[in-house]
Amino acid sequence: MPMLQPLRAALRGLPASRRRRAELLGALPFILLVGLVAVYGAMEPAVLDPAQVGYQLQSGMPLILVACGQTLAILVGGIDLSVGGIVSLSSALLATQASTFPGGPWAAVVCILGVGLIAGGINGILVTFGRLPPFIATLATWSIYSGLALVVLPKDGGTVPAEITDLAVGKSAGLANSIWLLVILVGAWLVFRRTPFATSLFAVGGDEARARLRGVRSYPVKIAAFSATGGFAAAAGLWLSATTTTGLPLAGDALILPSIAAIVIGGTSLMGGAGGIGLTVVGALILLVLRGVVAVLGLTPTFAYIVTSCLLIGMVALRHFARRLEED
Amino acid sequence: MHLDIPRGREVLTAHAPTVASYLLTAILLALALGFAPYLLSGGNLNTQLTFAAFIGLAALGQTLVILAGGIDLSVPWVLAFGAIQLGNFGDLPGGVAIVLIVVLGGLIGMVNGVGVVALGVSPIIMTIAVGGLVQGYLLEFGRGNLYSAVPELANTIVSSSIGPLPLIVVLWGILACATGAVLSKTIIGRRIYAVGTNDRTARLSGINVPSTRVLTYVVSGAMAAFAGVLLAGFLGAAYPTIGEPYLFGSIAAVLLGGAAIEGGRGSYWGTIAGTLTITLLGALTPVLGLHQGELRVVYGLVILVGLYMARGGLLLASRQSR
Amino acid sequence: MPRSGDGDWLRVTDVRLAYGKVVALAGANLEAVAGEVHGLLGENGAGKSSLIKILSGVVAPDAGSIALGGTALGLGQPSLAERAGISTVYQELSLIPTLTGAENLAIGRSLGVRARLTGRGLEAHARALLREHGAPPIDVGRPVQLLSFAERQILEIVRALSLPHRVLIFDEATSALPPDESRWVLGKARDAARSGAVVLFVTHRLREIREVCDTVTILRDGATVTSGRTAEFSDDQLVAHMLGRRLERLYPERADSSSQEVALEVRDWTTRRVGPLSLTVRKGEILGIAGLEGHGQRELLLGLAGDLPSKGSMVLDGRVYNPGNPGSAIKSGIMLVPEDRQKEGLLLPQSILFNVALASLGRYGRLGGWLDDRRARADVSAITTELGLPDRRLDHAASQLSGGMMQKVVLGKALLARPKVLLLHDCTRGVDVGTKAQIFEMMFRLAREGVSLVFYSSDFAELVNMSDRIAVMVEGQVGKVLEAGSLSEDNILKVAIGAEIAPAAAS
Repeated sequence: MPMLQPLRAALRGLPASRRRRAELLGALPFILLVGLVAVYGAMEPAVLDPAQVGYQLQSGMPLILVACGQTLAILVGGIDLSVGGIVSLSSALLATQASTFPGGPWAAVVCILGVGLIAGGINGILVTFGRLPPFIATLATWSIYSGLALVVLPKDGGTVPAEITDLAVGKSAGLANSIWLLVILVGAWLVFRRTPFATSLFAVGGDEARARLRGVRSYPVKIAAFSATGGFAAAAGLWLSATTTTGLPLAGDALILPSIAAIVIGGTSLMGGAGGIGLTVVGALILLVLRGVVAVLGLTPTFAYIVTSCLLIGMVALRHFARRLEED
Repeated sequence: MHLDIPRGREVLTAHAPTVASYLLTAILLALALGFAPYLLSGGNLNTQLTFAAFIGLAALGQTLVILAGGIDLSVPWVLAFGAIQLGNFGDLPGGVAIVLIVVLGGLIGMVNGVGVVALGVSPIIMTIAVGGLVQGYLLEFGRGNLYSAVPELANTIVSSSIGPLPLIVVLWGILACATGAVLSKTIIGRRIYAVGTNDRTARLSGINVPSTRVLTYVVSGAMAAFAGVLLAGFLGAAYPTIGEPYLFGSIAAVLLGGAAIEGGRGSYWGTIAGTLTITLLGALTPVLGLHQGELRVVYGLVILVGLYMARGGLLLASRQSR
Repeated sequence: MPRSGDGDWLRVTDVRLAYGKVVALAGANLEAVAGEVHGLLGENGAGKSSLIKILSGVVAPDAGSIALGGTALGLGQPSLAERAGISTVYQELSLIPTLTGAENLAIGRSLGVRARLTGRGLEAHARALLREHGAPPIDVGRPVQLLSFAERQILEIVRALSLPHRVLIFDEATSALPPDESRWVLGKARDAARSGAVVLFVTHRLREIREVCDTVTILRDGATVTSGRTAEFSDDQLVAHMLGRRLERLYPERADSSSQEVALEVRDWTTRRVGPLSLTVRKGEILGIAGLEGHGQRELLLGLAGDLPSKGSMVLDGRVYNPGNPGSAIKSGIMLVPEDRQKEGLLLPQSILFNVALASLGRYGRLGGWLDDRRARADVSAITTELGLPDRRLDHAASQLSGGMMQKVVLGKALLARPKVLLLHDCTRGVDVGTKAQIFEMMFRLAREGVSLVFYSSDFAELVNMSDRIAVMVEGQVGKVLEAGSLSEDNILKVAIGAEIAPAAAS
């Protein structure tokens, strides 16, 4: 349509610089991760050995899993503080129930994942039908779930069936299973991202009222997202117990705030509707590699805390000012 | 909110959530009196009130922050900072050390506030990050889990009492009344409510939104540090995780007090009820033969019940005033 | 795709809707048949948007029925409306800002797994849709929030067109578009009607009504006043039906109270998307600000009120005025009554008393910050009584008030701050007639008392009747200042459109 020519030119003119800035900002976590890995590898070449990578991922996996789950709650405009409780509960359940579970340890694993999905689903119901702000609802259920963990297993202990530990610390086709899990996680996300359900999920997080206007039923979508968050947290608890071969009924709480940090550093907005598990994996890996670099440099853990905090503030502030620039 | 004593049914609307939170406190109080009256007699009562004072002080700043539409997740770390720093300042005269710690706590709060208003970092993230910074500092300088050098003054504050009440409780009472009065009777109080209700309207009405926000974080930091000092004096020990229960405790007390997490609604009078509720729960569960795990479950359930009670009260009151 | 066939029709019968105490619809009727473009006309606040929200299932009416082709329509659920074949171009757009254009076009639809799994397929589908409807190419792989407003509007229209529809609703789909784009939209409306859909078209532009609407229904104060073939109405008749008979009574008598003394002088001044411009406001004058939507009126007022940063020289009462924020503007004597009374003007859950006192809190301090309750209550009460708000309601939450009452509270807040220059942003929009008249009286009284008023209104008739002079904004500049004697709606429109027509000539 030739008569639209001037408009087209105008459209192309204005947003071009904005787009470049947005692209650069979006790529920043990737650049950071690659840079950090390069530094890490240069200082300590052994860490790039696949076996070492596998081992490091194995110990970082609970954070990665919790953060990935948390991403889903945040994508629909929520937040889930109860993941800490669910991790603890799942860890406690595995260490106390799996050895004697009727139907064997694998049935126990499936049931524990189910418990996570239900616990997350309860959060979702409180947030939707219960009309509670996610922060408050999950603050309450955090207390409940972590309490249940202590009821199940009052202090660290219990036993984890060997076959479950073997799977978590084992290898397949020459690579550590932790690496495979990460690959599957990212791959599954990329496939899921393209499903109509994912579009609804992003739509609800981006603007719930408009999504409803477009015929998306936002309650089921939100409940599903929170439920999946619980499922991921339960998986994190299983992994934690499997790799440490013991039940840790208090371990989950320490993962709540780092999981949010990983998400934010990766680039998912706390406002909801933008981001994804792929980004969160990058954010979590940045945190893990940072810890490694600090250790290699012989610095105290203090330094890791400080760098992480500064990174967190810096990333968000950078995005904030970029947005401000766009507005003017 | 009201500038003057509201009349008639409006009293109900304005105060429904607070009334609901005191109702909850009263129910627990009745339970306590029924199951374990000794909990509330003499020395035990004072111990419970002392526990309440720690939560109440940590929740004081949290109340202001939440009323102004924010949240402070750095409270446990700043509290631990106060506790541990007391030992690090062992060489200073007690009074100077305490004042210095409270000021430093306020400065940490200011970092929170400035990050939120000037860097555009959301309160959740900013206070997590600052909490992380403080945590890093504590791991470096608080490695010895126990210390002995509790300054004279901290001991004195903790062990002395005024009349039948421990000094800590009296201090909390004074600060509580001051906070309650500031929130309902002063210009600053109005500004905090205005900013928390709608910061856009507040700004266009000439209110300095950033400085109001920062102020709430400063108070939160200072009060958390002060609570840490007292807690260290009380326990005679300090360790980096000393503040952990107060993340949940401070927020839960505010919410059980009927405040809205979105800001603009609530009061410190409500938070006091929330504080007492949490303390009573903590005192009751062992009596009922319940352990740490069950206590946490009960905490969570009571929060849910409390939230719906506050909401129900609000609904009921607004329906009546139609 | 539109169902081909004939005899499809849409009938709205006696639909009523109230939001609390505010009546939005008080008996709306409408009948439209397939093959025609049916204009839905009315002033701001006449109930057009409410009716459209009901048709598209966003809200359920309190009473009344809607029938489409002989079957009653399920109400109150967007999905029901969509299933019945009602597709809407929403005025506020229904695009999710964080999703890409392609995803937005695909929400809630099954495209087949293959097309989805490769993101390319999704985007190719979206591009094909744009091409099919003759829309300009838009980068559909970008989040919608990175697109320009015109691009978003186009996507919204293509989205509505691409849904299977028996009824197509355009709610002010052209108001933010340049002329070429508007023409494209009109073309699409006509095409849709031709292929057998019922088309409802909402617009404020008389020219577009003439160009595209075969029949019209006119709403006023929530009820249908008349309907018929467009050709049967003259422009004057259309306007008369929209405005009703209340035109004459609305504006009070007044003598010119403006002096030659300058209150505020702005020179070579720029703020976001506005300027550089120069403007003088005299003491006791009502300076009207006019312009088509989005030509910088909002930014002008926000800049003057210190909310947006600005450059250039401003002199207030002979002193350099350089507000860093609205707070310092209010201290200097400039106060804004903002555009959105609920989101910018009020603290909804707080009491009326608190709201009115909000901008003057500092005055009621004693002993370093304690509020003088009694004095504040007395002053607030004096103002609210004058504005016709009952005293006993001072402790009610502002959220319980009707739209007109809310506006009075916002005005009361501004008055209590005792400004020298009062900036009014469309303060009569969506306000009932009685309140409007009261607001006008108040404006005249303020002017008599020497307060200068800068009055932006989207209603040209109001501007002409209320202003001493009118500055017409065109693309962020003052196109022309109309002086007494040349104040007319025609002239405003000519200045506003004159500049708007120019770029179109280039194509």
